[in-house]
Amino acid sequence: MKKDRKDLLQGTLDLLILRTLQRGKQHGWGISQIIGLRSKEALNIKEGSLYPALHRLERQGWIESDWGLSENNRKAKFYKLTRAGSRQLEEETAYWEEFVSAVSLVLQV
Amino acid sequence: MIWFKQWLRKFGYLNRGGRFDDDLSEEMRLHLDMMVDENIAAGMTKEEARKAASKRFGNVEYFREDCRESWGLRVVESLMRDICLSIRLLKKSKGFTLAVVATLALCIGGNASIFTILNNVLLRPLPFPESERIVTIHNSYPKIGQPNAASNVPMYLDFRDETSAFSGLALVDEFEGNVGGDRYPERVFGFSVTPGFFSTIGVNPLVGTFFSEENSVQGQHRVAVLSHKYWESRYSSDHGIVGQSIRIDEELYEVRGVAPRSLEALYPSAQIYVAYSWNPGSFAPLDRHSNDPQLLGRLKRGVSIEVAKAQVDVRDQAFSDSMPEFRQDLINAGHETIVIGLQERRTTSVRGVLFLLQAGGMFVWLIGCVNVSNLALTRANARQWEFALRTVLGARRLDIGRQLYAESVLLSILGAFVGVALGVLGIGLINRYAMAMLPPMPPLSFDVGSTVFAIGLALLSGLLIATLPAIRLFSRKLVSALGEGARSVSTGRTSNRISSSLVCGQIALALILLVGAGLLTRSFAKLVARDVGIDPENVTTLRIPLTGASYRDNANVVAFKREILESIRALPGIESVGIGTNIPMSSDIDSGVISYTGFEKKPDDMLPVTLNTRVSPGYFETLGIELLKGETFGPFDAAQSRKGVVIDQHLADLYFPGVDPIGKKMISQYGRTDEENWPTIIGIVENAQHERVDEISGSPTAYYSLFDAGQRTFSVFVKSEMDPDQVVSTIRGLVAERDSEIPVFMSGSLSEYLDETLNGRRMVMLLISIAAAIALLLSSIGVYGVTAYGIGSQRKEIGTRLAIGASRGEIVVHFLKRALGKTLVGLALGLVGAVALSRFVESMLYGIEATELSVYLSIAVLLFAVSMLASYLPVLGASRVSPMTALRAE
Repeated sequence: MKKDRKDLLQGTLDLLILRTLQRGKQHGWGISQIIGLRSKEALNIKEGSLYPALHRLERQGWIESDWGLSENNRKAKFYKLTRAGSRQLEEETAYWEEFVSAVSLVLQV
Repeated sequence: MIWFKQWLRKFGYLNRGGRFDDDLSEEMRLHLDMMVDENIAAGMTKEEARKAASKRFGNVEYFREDCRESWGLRVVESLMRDICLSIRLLKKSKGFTLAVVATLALCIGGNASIFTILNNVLLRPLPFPESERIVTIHNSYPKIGQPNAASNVPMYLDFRDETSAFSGLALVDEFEGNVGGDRYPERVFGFSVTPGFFSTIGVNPLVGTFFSEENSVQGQHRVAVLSHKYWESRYSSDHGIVGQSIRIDEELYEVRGVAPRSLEALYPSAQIYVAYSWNPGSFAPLDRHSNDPQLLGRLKRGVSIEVAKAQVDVRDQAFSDSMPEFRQDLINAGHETIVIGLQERRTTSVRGVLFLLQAGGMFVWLIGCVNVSNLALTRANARQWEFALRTVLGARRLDIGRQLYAESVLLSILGAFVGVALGVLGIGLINRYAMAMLPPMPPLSFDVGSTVFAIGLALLSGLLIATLPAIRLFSRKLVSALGEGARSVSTGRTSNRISSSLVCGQIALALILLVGAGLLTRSFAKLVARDVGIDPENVTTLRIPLTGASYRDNANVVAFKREILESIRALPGIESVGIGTNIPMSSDIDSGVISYTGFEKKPDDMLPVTLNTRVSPGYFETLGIELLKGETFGPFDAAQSRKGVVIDQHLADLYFPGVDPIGKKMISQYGRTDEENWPTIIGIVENAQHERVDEISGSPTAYYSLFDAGQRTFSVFVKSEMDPDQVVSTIRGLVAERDSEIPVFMSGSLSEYLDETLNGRRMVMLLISIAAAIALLLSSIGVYGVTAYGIGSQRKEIGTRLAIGASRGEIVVHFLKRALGKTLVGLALGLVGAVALSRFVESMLYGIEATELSVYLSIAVLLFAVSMLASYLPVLGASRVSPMTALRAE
């Protein structure tokens, strides 16, 4: 039971990262800022947990990384969506929407 | 392909090595810095900003580990770490490593060697296409002591023409002859075969062709096929030899072709194949039971052995119906024609032996594993404190357990390496000394299968060995060891209990092996000491084949034998000399049914067949076969036209109970000659063994006069104090004086010759004894180790006891009592096991029951003594310790 919830959360974080990177390449700090802004700070995520997720996604081949300079001229690692990542995002988004609507249907009864 | 790309990416990361960590830190540091900056901008102090950022980010170390894990780095890394740690630890305790590797290598090497034999002999099929379809077909007369007789031409023709189960049939007989002519004369050995032989086996000529159908007709038989080996050695692989003629026994044979090397798997020592031939129409119906050549067949595809057997039975029935007067004899003999797979027939005799050896080897391996396990357990106990500390510092039990396994698998792989080297050595020794116990086959090699077996066994050992310490690790509160600290009073009563029960098992296994070795040794001693009725002391033997064209005349053969006999007798220093057609216990000997004047066979008589051989005057004296009654052959028999036969006591008892046989006329294979021409029984001699050792059935024997027939190959026996080599070379000279074309072979001391017939059994006994000796050694080391360890962990107790007034004797008795208990339980278990398993050696024993009490008792006493001694040594040491030292020891 506990394990299921964790998996779900993890999956969700992956989805958020992929969606964020759809708008262009970004470094870890940037990603967390964007997620925070868009969710109106409603999601309580330990920001550190972003990094294992990023590495996992990179291992899967859905994102790529590259070193570059940040806005304030610091060395930063930028992540960018790959083609496989875009496909994965589509799939996961569709899955998520289905999932949410299914759960909502049940809750509305 | 996705997994492949993932692996590529993974290795890209692994290759970056240390940079992975740097990159990761850099990435996270940026994030934290930005958060701090943001917080400061929101009005916090620097200190507050850092704390808040850190709180929101979470545990950096934790996430770092998580990142590594997401690349699968953790597993690889920790494995590498375990291995490195293990190597370091093992380097530190060299004694332990050495003991373990030596024990494992010995066990693995020995088992791998035996497995190599087993694999080569039993598991691997013959290297011919669909070799499982090759069968042998032979007459069997179990009730008269001939369960595995051979076959003959009438059977071959009958089954070839009247059954449909076989796609090919072939007769095979041993052949030997002198090859001379173009080069030096040479005695060659091989086989005479019918034309279908090669296709029945499934081989094609390497060069030229094989035989054709007409070659089996006498007169058109002078064709030969060279074995690959002989072609290489004598004719330097010359393709031009095909079509040329070579001289065999003074006759010209046309070389048809060369057999492929694969045939050596079946007949490794064959040099030449010639055509098996006979005169068409020269066989009487009864010859269906006169057995000489082997009959091979290839089953048609889809035909089972049972179907073939049924068809063969139909033909046997037809024969029996056509010869009603013979039917009862066949029934009395329990006759049956057996159809059996060739490979099975070749290996039945060694199957039991090999499985026995492998089982023995595995017992030794188990004993070895127990020793190593106990060592590892002792070591793990000594490391309790270290394990506890590691647990406190955050190591999981799984981590510690994994490290234990890594260590023992590493050890066993080392063991496997040394073991494979020992195995290769072992196979070399077996090729050199132990081939006598195997069916004829090319030398063995330690191959891939053997290596895989060795490594498999090593890994299994590793797992077994680590399991004990691991079980202990998981069954105990580790942290409590910290509390006990270095001053632990009795380190692991439980572990001592486990060790003790393992030692019981060791003693039991060792006892079983020792009993097996004891039974085989006792049986072998009986075999050596058995009364063979022959005294080979100072007897030299050699074999002479008369192969020249002039010896086709019997008179010349007889004359040659007489002359050589006379000239040898005339030599100085010769005690006596005789000629016989057979060498006792080694060459095949004719056998048949006998008849005598006035013999009336009762329908249910089950008389064993009689062995027939021909001997000269002087034969019995030379071989020390004692004359019991009457007389033996004299030099003037022929001149007085006396035709005699000497029988042995066995024959006299069987056929002439309560009657004096001397003066009666008798014949073997009756029906061929008129009764008045039968020889007369002139004497009775003591029983002597002429059959091979593994065919001991105590058949009666009849000795006919050498000069009544013209056997062209015969053995000379000379009794003399002189050196056998000198005797042989002198006689060689005498032979050459008469005919320089005649070789002399199978020469040497008769006692050595007879001794060599026991080589197969001697090897089995020796190998099992080696296994048993190793088992004894290892288990006494085991007993010693466990007792010593038990005492070591109770030094404080000993010190206390001594300090409050216990005598040294009491201490000794106290510990010996424990050892006694273990030993007795082990012995009891072992005895039960040995009795239960004894039936597996039963068939290998001679003159001794598998449950011979004296063997069991003496082995038990031996093992008891060894085990008590092994315990007494450390106990004695402990009792000499001064109480103060013992108390301070911890």
